[in-house]
This record gives sequence, C-alpha cells and structure tokens, in this order.
Amino acid sequence: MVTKWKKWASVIVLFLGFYLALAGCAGTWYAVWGLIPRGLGPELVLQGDYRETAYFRREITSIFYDVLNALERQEEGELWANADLDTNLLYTGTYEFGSVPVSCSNTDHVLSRGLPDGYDFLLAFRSGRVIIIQDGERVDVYGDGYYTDQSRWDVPGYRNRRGEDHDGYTVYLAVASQPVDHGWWEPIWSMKQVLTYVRYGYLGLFGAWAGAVLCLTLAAGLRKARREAREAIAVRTAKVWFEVKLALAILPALLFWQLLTGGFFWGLNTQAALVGAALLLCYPPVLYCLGCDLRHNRGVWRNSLCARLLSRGKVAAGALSARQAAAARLAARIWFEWKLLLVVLYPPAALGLLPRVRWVLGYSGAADLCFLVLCAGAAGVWLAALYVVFCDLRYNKKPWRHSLCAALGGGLARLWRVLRGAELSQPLRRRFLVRIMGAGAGTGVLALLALWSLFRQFYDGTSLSWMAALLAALLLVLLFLLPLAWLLDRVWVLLRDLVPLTERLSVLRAGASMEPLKLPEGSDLREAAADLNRVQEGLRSAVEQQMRSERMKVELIANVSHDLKTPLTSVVSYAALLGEEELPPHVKDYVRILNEKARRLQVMVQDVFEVSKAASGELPLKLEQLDLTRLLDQTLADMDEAIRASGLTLRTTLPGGPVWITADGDRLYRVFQNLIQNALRYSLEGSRVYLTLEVRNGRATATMKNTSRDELPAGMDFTARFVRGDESRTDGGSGLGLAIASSFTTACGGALEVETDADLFTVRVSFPTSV
Amino acid sequence: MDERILVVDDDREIVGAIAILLEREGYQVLRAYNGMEALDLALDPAIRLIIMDVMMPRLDGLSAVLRIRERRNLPIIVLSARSEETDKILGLSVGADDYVTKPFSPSELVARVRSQLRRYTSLGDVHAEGRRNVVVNGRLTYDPEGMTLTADGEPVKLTATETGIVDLLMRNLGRIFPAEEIYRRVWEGECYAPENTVMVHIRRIREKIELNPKKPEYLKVVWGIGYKMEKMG
Repeated sequence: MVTKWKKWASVIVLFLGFYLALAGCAGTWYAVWGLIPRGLGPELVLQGDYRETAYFRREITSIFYDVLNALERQEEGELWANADLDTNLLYTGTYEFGSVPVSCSNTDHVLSRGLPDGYDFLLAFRSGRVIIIQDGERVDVYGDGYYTDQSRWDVPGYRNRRGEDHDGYTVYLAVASQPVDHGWWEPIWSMKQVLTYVRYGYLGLFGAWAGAVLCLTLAAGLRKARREAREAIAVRTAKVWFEVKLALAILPALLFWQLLTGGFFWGLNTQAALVGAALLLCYPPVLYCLGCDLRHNRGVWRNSLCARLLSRGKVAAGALSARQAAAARLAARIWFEWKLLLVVLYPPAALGLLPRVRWVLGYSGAADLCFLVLCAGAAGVWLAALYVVFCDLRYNKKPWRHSLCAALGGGLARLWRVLRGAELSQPLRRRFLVRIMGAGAGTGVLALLALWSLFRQFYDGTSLSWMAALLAALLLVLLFLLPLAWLLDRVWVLLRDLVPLTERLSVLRAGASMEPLKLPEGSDLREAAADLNRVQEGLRSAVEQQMRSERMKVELIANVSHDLKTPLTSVVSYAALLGEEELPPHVKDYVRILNEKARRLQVMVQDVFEVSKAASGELPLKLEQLDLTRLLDQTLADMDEAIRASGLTLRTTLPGGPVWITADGDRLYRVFQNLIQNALRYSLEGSRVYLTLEVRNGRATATMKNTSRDELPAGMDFTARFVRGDESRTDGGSGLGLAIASSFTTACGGALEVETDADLFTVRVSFPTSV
Repeated sequence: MDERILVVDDDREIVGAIAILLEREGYQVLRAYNGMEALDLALDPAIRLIIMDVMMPRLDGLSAVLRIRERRNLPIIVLSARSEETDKILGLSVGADDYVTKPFSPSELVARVRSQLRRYTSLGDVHAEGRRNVVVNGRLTYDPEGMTLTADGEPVKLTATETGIVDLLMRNLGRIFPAEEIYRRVWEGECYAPENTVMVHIRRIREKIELNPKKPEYLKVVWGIGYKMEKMG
C-alpha cells in the first residue's frame, strides 16, 4: 500500500532531481566555459588563502603589466582614479630614461625599502626580473627558468623570454594583508569577493549534483508510487477541457520559442529572462501532467468545450442544477443579440468608462475604495452575464433562434407568405396584370425620385463632375431595371414551368402514363399542374374502369354462351332425332323449323362470343403476310354456289398481281364472307354487286357496293352490334355480320367503313400494304 | 356388335341423345354423369371408346381423361362447349384423341366415333405398314404407287382430277400450294381462273374425306396464299 505522502513525494522528488540536474548542468556549463578559463577552477573550494589562487596571480600580473605599460607610455601620476582611497594595493613604478626619470605611484611609501605595516605581499621588478615576497618569504617565481603553460607566474624574466627589454624599469606592488571594502571597482577587494562567491558557487554546484543524484535515485526507487501518482493526476486532468490542455501544451512552447528567437514581446531583458525561467520551471510539470493524461485517459479530446457546446441539447433536465436552470430560463427570455452585446461590448465600454469615473471621483482614500467597489461590481456584472450566456449556450436548444434578427426574419417571411398566398389565389391573368402594374409603378416611382434628385442637384447649383453624373446615371438605370428584372424573372419562371406542362399534355394525349407532375412551391402554374394531374388520374382510372368492365363483359358473354350451348346441344340433338322419325307432314314441317332456328341460334351464340372478344381486343390472332387478291379470289370461289343461287350478278375488279398485306387469313376470310353474305341477303333481286380492290398511297382498299332491297335508314351505324337495315325483319342473319367484319378488320390492323347513298350500300375494307 | 362406348356428361339429356344415336348404330352405351363415375366404369375392358364432357361436377373431364390414360389405351373423344383453339389444344394435350365442340351435329359425332373406332382396331393392320412408301396422315393413308387413298381404312373413291390433287398434296404434307401451281401440275396447263376450278375440286374431295366438310381438318384453305394438306401429329 502506497501512502499518500509517498505517492506525491515520488513526483516531487522526481521533479526536484530533474531541476537540480538542470541547475547542475547549467552551473557546470558556466564553470567550464566561463570560470575555469579565468583561472577560477574548482580547486578554489579547497584553497583557503586567496593569494594562492591562479586568479590572484592573473590579476596581480595584469596590474603589473598595466603599470609597466603606463611607464612605457610615459604616463605619470596615478593610474587609476580614486587612488587615494585605494589602500589595498600600493604600487610604484619608475623608469630611468636618460636624465628624466618617469615614475607613477599611489603611495608615499618607498616600497624598495620594505613593506609598510598591514601589507604582506610584495612584487618587485628590477633589472628585468621579478621578485615576490609573500608573508616575509620569497616565492620561487621562475622555477627552472623556462616559461611553459604550467608556469605559475606569467611575468618577464624567463630564459626563453630574453627578447623583452625592460632595462631601467622598476615596479613595486604591495597588497594589503586584510583588504578593505572599497567597492566592486577596486581590483583586490573585488577579487577577494569574486573568489568567495565562486567558492560558494562551486559548493552549490556540487551540492546540486549531489542532490540531483540523490533525488533521481530516490525517484527511481519510488517508481511504483509514481505510477499511482500518475493515475491520480490523470483522474484530475480528465476534468480539464481538452482545449485548455492543448493551450497549455502549445502556448508555453511558442512563448519560449519567441523568447529564444529575440523576444518578440519583451526583448532580451530581465523580464524576459524571468518569464523564460518561469516557463522553463513550469513547463515540465505541465507536460508531465499532460503525459499522464494521454497515457491513462482514453479519448482525451472528448471532454472539450466544443464537445460540451455541441452536446448542449442532449443535457437531460435532471442534470441541471437549479441555478443553471434559472440562468438558462432567464437567458431564454432575452434576445440573443442583447446577450452577445452584453458579453462582447461590455468589457471595452467598462474599461473606457472606469477611468473617467475615477477622475470624477477624485483621488482621495474614500474615492479609491468607492472605485474599487465599482470595479468589482462591474467585473461581477460581466461575469454574471458570462455565466448566463454560458448556461444559455449549454442548456438551451439553438439559443440564436430567439433573436431580434430571427423575429424580424420570421415576421417578414410570414408577411411574404401572406402576400404570396393572396397573389396566388388570383387568376393567372390578373396575377400578371397586377405584377406588370406593380413593376410599372415601381419604375415610375424610381424615375420620379431620380428626376427629383437631379432637379435638386441642378437647382442647388452644385455641378456634378461627369464621372459622378455617369455613376448616378448608371445607378438610376440599374434601379429602373430592378422592377423590370423582377417581372422578367416571373415570366421566365412561368415559361420554365410551361415546358413540362405542355410536354405532359402531349404525353397525356399519347396515352402514356407518368408520375404526377410536381412544380415547385409558389409556381404560377402549380394549380394548373395539379389540375392536369387530376385529369390524368381521372383518365387513368376511367380507362382502367373501362378495361375492367370490358373484361368482365367478355367473361360474362363467354360464360353465357357456354351456358347457352349446353341446352342448345340437347335441342339440336333431339330436333335431329325428331326429324328422323316417321311423322305427319305438317309435324315434319314444324321439326324442320325447329332445326333451322336451333342452328341459327347456334350461329348467333358463336357470333356474339366472337364479336365481343374482338371488341375487347382479346381475340387470338395469327398475323402473317398474305395476298389480298388471292384471298378475295378464294372467298369468291368458296362462296360460288351461294352467289349463283342468289340470282345476283357479282362484278369483280381485282388487280392482276398480288396485293400483300399483313393480317390473319382466317379472320379476314370471315370478314369478306360476312360482307358477301350480307350483300347476297339484302340486295335487290337481279341487281349487281360490285367488288373492287385497288392499291392507292400504300393502302389496299377492297370496296363492295350493292343496291339495297329495302330503304336504308339514314344516319345509322351499321357496324354496331345487332343492327340491321330493317329492324322488324327476322331473316337468317344474326345482325352481327357487319359487327364481326368490322371488329375483325380492326383487330387485324385494318379499317372498315360503311357508306350509304340512297339505296347504294358501300363497304370499304382497307389495309396498309406491306412491302 | 358388342363394342361398348362410355358416354360421360353431367347433362342427362345429352347423354340420352348420344346414347340413342350410338345405339342406333349398334353400339352398346354405358352412361356416367360425372368424372368419378366415369373412372369407375372406364375399367370395364369391354369399353372401346369414351365420350367425355369437360365441365362436370366432382371430377372434370380433362382430369378424368388424364387418369384413364394412366390405365387404359383407348380412343377418347372430348366434348366441350368451349370452342377456342387453346381449349382444343389443351384437350388434345392431356391425351384425348378428338375434340368435338357443343353443340355438335349428330351425324358428325357418329362419324367421329366410327372413325376413331376404325383407326383403333386397324392400328395393327399389316396391309398399311407393309409398304414403305405409304403416306400415313391421321385418318388418311395414301399409297402413291396405286394412287389410292383410304380414310379410316376405307378406300375413298376419287375422280382422276381429285386423285391428282390428293397425290400432290399428300406427297407434300403441310406445304402450301397456290391454285395456279395445283392447276399447272394436275391439269398440266394454264387456266384463266384457276381459283374457282381448284376450289370446286377441293370442296368435293372434302366431302369424301372430311368428317365435317364445313369445318375441314385435313384439306385446308390458307386464305390469301393457297391450299394444303394439314400434317397430323
């Protein structure tokens, strides 16, 4: 079980180690590149006497050379300002140059005679060699006399530096045993301070590294605890919006980059450094937290502000706290624009207004208090507004719907609909009349306005530049065109809708059925299209009804004829049997009549059946190429006996060659058989019957003319069923001859027409010839 | 004669009329009034032919024909009030040998019965099968060598011209000949109006070979084209 402190300690230790290591790295870097080259190596930490350090030797040598150089340049007096204060370092330099000696010094002591009280370090340079006496003892300066990189003192006098000519130069430097604080500018004190600080710095550096190692070791030991800590962090980070996390991850990196590349915001100054340091310090923990989040939470982007705003409508009523619900209710009553204005424009307005208030209030203590309260109040109001808007966005569905714009838009739309409805309820002609008048009136009003403004311009005497005049003219033309363009648009829409309407009409005429025509809402021809659809629907249902009733009729007739045939069979059979019996002559006559009528009934039943079938288009047909001339020949030959017996003369005029048509031969034979039978039956005794066949314009027409025995009633449809010239007659015909002929001809693709002229009865049967 | 004929029709009067007609011809008649009765009676081996109505209660004629055909091989004539071609084809396809529409003429029915019986009994006739060149077409058999035509096994008496036409048509079953060609090949000459002449002879031949000359089954006019001898299956 990992205790709570252990859990968090593991993380803290890790970061402590990380930062210490970071600091160690930085310190080491500075020590290696900044301190050691200046002689401030880590050995300083162990060196108690600062005069034993390389740094001291370098500084003294450089002062020595300063003095030497000053003598060479023949400068006199004091080398440094405020030398009177300088008691830490005494120097004297002389140069015997002929009779005029050059000297510089900051002391009255004659250093060649010995060190004054309180000084324990002496550097003497005489006749090209340096002698150093420290704490009364002489220091070995030259060693083996050759200068190498290992040599402690970088001064003239080595054997391998013989070239330097320092004859006549004498320099004495004395350093106080206890340097006094004269400020940073003074070399000895400053040197001592630097050494002290560097020593502490090195101590700190070592401490940092030690701490880092310690902490990281500890952190390594606390891996398991840290795992739990990561989980705990992930639980907490899961509650943060994804956008915030994204900003936290990206923004510091950006800022840091800006700082590194020259400080876009701040420039490289103390502030920038501080911000950079702060970022550097804060960024790793933030990244660590985000890492925990990414590692332990799934779908980290799900908990985001966007997602919450988007899922606003899905929040159950129970999920709202009372306060949120109240805020949402309040927000729902306010137009969206107001809310937007309050949230967006309030802060700038408040920020602009508050300084004025401050000025008005004055700058007394009470006024300050008042102002603070005011500021707090203003901020509170804004925050409250923000909260209300937030609740609105989060809990109300489509809050922007309840806005001034939406209300105005809705009103306008309603008005437009009412006007449009009123317009569409008018007849089409009147509608367009009103439109033309409206467009005309609009153009007129615009023209008047334009004229008036032009008149004003000229009346005022302000002359327009030609450019302005041109622009104005263009604008006016455009304005005039607007009502006309509207009118044209309506006409265009009308024409556009007219095309499908007329197409539909032709389709309707062709008898094809189509989907109902749908014109767009508000189209001028929508009513017409609806009417057309109704007509089409009516037509379709009427045709369907007719087809159905026709089919039913055929079925009925088929059934009836079947039912008639069964008793008729008995009648025919028994009448035949009766005819063969020995009977008195008058009874024989009765039987003959029975036989005859029974047979006629049989023919009639069959004819009725066939004609009704043909009329309903259900006659089975075997269409083939045949020669109409030959068919007529054959029919005449077939009926030769009947023709001869009739006592009529048949005059035929047939073409010499074949006339090819497409038809059903058996049916067509029935047609002509019926026609000839008709002619034989109803013609005047001894008259002539004419049968001709001719081909004209791709149609073969067979014409039969006969003179009727009885007067033909005018205006009668002879091809109708059960029609005969003389209605009262009851001769051999079923009254269906012409009806069968007509319906068979039509079924085969031909046409049969009957013409009567006085007693002349003409029948024409025509077929399109086939090639 | 002890040839028994089964007559089946739900209309008793029709059965009665047919029975009178057939008994007068010397046949013995068994009567049934629906399909089931017909099935029972059809097992009588003495029955030589069945006349069956189509529309009947309990079991319709066509189903009865189908079932009888499973057991027996004998001529069946179907009677029907339906005169359409499709009904006729259906009737023949279930196994009927002939199809007669109501109302029928008594003489035609008797002729058909006789024809069927004769064909049935003469099926194993050696005299027809022996020669190879004999043309057999349904009821008709034509011997080109002797130029003799038999209908239902009975020789048909034909004139010389009729024999010429029959010879031409029987040698070319199903082929359509225009009147001119028939005339040219039979009369061996040209004629001004061959149609009439040929038609007269055709009609005469029909009288001799067709059961009902008004509704010919063999010698047919193909209207608008010519004449042919129908090829029977």
